Amino acid sequence: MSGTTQKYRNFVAEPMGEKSVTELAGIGETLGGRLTEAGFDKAYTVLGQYLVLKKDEEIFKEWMKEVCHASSKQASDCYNCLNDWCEEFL
Amino acid sequence: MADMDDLDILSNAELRAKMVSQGLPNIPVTDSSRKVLVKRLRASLSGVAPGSPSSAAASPKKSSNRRDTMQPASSSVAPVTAPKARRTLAVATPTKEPKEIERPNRMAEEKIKQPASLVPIQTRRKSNTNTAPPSLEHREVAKKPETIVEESQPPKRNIQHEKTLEVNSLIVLESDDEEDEEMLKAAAKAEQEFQRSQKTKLSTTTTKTHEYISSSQAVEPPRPRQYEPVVPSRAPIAAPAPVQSRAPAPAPVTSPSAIGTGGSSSYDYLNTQSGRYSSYTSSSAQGYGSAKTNPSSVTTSYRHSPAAHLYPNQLSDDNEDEEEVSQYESTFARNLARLRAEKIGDRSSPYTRRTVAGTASSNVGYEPRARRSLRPEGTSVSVAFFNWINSLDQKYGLKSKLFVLVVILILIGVYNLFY
Repeated sequence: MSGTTQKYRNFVAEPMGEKSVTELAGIGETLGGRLTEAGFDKAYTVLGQYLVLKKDEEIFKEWMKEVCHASSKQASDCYNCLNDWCEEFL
Repeated sequence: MADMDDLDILSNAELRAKMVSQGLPNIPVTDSSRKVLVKRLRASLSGVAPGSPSSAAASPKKSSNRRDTMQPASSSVAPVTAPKARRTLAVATPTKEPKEIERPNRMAEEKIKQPASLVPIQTRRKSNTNTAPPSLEHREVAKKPETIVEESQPPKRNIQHEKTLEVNSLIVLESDDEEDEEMLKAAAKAEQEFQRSQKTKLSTTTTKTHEYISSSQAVEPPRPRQYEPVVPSRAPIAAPAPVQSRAPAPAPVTSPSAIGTGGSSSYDYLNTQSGRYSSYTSSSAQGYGSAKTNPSSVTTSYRHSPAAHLYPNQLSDDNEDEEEVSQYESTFARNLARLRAEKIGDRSSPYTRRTVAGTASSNVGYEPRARRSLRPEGTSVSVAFFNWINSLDQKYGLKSKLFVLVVILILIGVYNLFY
């Protein structure tokens, strides 16, 4: 991990509350739109999926690629974001 | 390929059973996760080589790797972001009141969540108080047991601190205006920030926000130690040695004390309306005021006002510090200039007399130190004289001129003798 983005830090810094899915690191407008279409409109729904997949990095990334055609980097950004959030707040 | 159709038709429960039988992780199959899981299952069914071993072996491995790299990364990030956090705090302090009004709902939410676990609580609190202070009584109640349990390292300071906190909270109830309460909340917020930072210093957590705190905390402990030397050098009777040694790097040494006074003046603002921080401000303000008149009182007051005051202040104020530093530097410079002048030339200045008196009557604890450090440099008159000569020589090239002068005088003398 070579440094973190501001978005990542913002997300991991506090409880996610009602944050939209685009607040997740690695998820911008495009992926956010796709995720919203797939029903994942809030960050916590993605968190839910992450938890349902038992925090499995591989499967979660695969799922990300599947559901919103995320790139490997975007998927791993999102995974790191959620994983670290969970380490903090779960 | 017959498998594929089979898998797509299977229900979620059946799919899950099949996954478990395949040795894949027991993950609940939902509509949202089904696709990925089917893919995984298919890979593990079709050939063990491509899918399952790589995934089964890779996923735990990667996660552990990631976790390993997490901690060094966070620790390396910490020093960089520490000043930043401080800056944001400094920004936040002046605009406390409006945010307080905005935030209470959120605070309530988070307070409910707090009992979850220790680590997240602290980090979350930190992020809160960067922006707005919560209602204080709840927090204090929640916190005090913790602090008592945890704080074994710096006990004296914290106990003092808590006492003052309690006393002041009593005062709060008496002096009871709405504005005042807000101001007090702001002030207590700073206090709690300090408490929290102290606590997090002790707790051995590895989350990033903690390390920000602990890194900034790591800088702080030397303060009390640095603090004392600053005082003699600041006083007019300062020894030349400490002054000179300090002169090259004035910023780090003077900053703690400067921060202390600067912060106290920021509390002054709070105090004018609330009266809560009267103890703090009065002590430190007195100390500061008397610093100009009486050096001995400087030492006492500064020593008694411990770093406990300084920590929150240090987080709250930046602008005033700089002014203070410049002030300190100017006094340093003045003292230094005076000392140099005194050392070289006029011994009859009142200042010199004062130092002599100081050496004669050992008044206060720090003065002998000043004398001692003064002595090696200006022990005997001859040494001072030679130093003076040397310095003059270096500056003006006196030796050569003197030599020429003496030669001329001798020539004149010889001339007068013979003619």
